[in-house]
Amino acid sequence: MSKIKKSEMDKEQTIIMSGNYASAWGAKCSRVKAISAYPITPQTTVVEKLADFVDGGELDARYVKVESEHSVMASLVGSSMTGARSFTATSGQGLLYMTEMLHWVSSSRLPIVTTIASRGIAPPWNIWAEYTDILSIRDCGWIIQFASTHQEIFDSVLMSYKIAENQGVMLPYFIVYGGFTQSHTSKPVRIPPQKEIDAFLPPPPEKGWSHLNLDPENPVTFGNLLMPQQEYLDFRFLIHDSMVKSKKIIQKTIKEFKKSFKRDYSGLAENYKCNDADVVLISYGALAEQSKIAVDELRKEGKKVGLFKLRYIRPFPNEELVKLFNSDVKVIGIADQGTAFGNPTGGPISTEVMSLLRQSNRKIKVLPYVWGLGGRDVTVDEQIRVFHQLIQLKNKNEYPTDDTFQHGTVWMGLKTGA
Amino acid sequence: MPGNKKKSDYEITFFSRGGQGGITSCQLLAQMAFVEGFKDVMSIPQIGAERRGAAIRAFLIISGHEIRRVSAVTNPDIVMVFDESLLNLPLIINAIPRAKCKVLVNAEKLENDTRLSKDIELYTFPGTSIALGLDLLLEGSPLVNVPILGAFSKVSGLVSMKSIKSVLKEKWGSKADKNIKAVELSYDQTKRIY
Repeated sequence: MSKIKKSEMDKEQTIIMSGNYASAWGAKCSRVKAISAYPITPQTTVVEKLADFVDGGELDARYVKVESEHSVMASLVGSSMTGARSFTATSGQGLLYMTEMLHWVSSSRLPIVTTIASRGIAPPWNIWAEYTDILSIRDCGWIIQFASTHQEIFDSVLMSYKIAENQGVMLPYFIVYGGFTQSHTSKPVRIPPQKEIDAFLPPPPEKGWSHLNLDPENPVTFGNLLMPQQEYLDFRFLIHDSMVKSKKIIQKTIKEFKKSFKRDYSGLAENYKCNDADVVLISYGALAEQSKIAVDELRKEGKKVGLFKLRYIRPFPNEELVKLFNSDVKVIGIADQGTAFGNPTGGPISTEVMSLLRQSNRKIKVLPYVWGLGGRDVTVDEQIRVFHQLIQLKNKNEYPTDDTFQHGTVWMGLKTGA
Repeated sequence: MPGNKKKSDYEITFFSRGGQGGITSCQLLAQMAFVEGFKDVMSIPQIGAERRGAAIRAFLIISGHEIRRVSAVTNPDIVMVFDESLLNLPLIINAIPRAKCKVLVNAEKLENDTRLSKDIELYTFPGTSIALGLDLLLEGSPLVNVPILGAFSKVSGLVSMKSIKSVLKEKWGSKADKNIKAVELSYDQTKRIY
C-alpha cells in the first residue's frame, strides 16, 4: 500500500510545478501499477519524478528501467496484459523508435497511457516544442489529446485512464504537450484530494481486462497469425469503430470530471468566441491557447474573430468542425506546429480539416499555416498578424504575397534561401 | 509596480552563471509571488547552457490573471543580475531594456561606467559578501540566489518579506534561519545607484 500522506488524501493542494511534474503527479494520483522508463529530453523529468515517488513509497508501482523506447512499450504490453494500469512518457525520436510497439498496443486493445513532451525531429538536433513526432504516428490507433495548460496535463491523465479503460473504448491514449514551453516551465497546478480522485477513477477490474488476460496459471497465446480469410480485417474495423465511438465516452468523462472537480474541458474541441465570428483560426496545443490573447485584442477593436482549439485529433472532431463551417465563418486559418512533407498542405492537420469542408454547403476560404517548428518563437503580435492576413483574405480576397507563402501555405517566419 | 496600479503582468529576467542558483531563485520567487496573492505565475528556465560558470537565463511572469502566453520574455520590467561580470557580455547588455526597467545587480560597488542605459533604475546589493558571511555555500561558491530575493522585494514592492519568509520556512523548516537572515540583510543593504 502506498504511503500517501494524510493531507493529500483529504485536502486539495496547489503546487507550482513543471508540466513534466504535472504528468508525473497525474500518473501517481491515477495510482498506476506499472511504469517503464527510458530517458529522453525533454520528457526525462517525468520518469525521474515517478522514480522519486516509487522510491519514497508514495506510489505503489513496479518501476522498470529498460534499454530503449521500443523496450519501454514492449514491457508495458506485458504489464498491461495482466490488467495493470500502465504508464510511460517519451518525446521526439523516442516516440519514433517506439512506433512498431504502438501498433502492438492498440491492436491488442490495451489501455496504456503515455504522455509526450513533443520536440522537433532530428537532424539537425532539436529538443524544443514541435508536434511532428506525434503527428507522424497519428494513425497508430491511439487516442491523441493535446493538453495546452499545466493543469490540463495533470487533469488529462486522470481522465485518460477513465476513457481508455472504458469497455466500449479499450484503446491506448497519448497526452501531448510542448517540450520546454510546457514541460520545463512551472505554473500552479491544483491537485484534488486523493479520496476524490479515487472516487472519480476506480482501479481497473481485479481479474484483468475482459478480452485478454495474461495469467501464468492459464497460459494462452495472443496475437497469433491470422490467414487472410480470418478476422484480421474485422479487428482493424473494430479499432476504427471504437475510436469513432469513443467520442461519446470522452464527452461523458469530461462532464463527470467537471462535476467532480469543477474544471471544464469543453469536449473534443474548444470554441473560443467563434459563434458570431467571420474569421476563425484553428489550431492546437499551447500556441492555440496563446492565440486567445490575440482574439481578445482584436475583439476589442470590433473584429469578429475566434479561435477553434482542437483538443483531440484522434478521434477527429468532425461534428464540431462541420458545425463551425455551418456558422457565420467566411475564412479559416489552420495552423500546424508540425510538418507533413508532400502533403496537399505543408501540415497534416490543415489537410484533415480541409477534407471535411465538403460536408458543408457554405463557401469558406482557407489559409493553412505552419508555425513554431523546432520551438521557433511565435508571439502574440505575430498571431494578431495572422488574423489580419485572414481578414485581408475575407475583405479583399487577397492571399499573402511575401516569401513566407509557399505552395499555398504560410510558413510563418520562413527565411528563404536558408 | 508602485506608481503603475493598472498593470497586472510583470516580467522578470534572471541572468546568472551556472552554479549560482539562478533557476532555483526563479522557481522560489514564482512560489513567493503565488503566496503573495498573484493569480498566476510562470517560471521559464532557459535550457541549453546548463554549465558551471556559463551565463544562464531564466524568466518569470507574475500576473493578476491567467497567463496564456508561451512566447519568450523580451521586454522585462525587472532584470536580476547575479554577477556584475555578466554585464560585460554583449548578449546580456543587449537583452536589458534601455528604459522603463529596474536592474538589480549583485555587486559590492558598481563602477559607474557600465554600458547600461541611464534611463533605467539601477540598484545593487552585496549578495556575495552576505552569502559568505552566513556560510551559504554550494561546493565552495557563495549562493546569491537567496539574498537576491530580499533585494527583489525592496526594489519591486511586488512580493513582501512575509511571503518570502513563509516559502523559505516551508522549504527548509528550521534550517531556514540562515536564509531568512540573508534576505533581511540584503533587503537592508540594497541601494539605488541612479
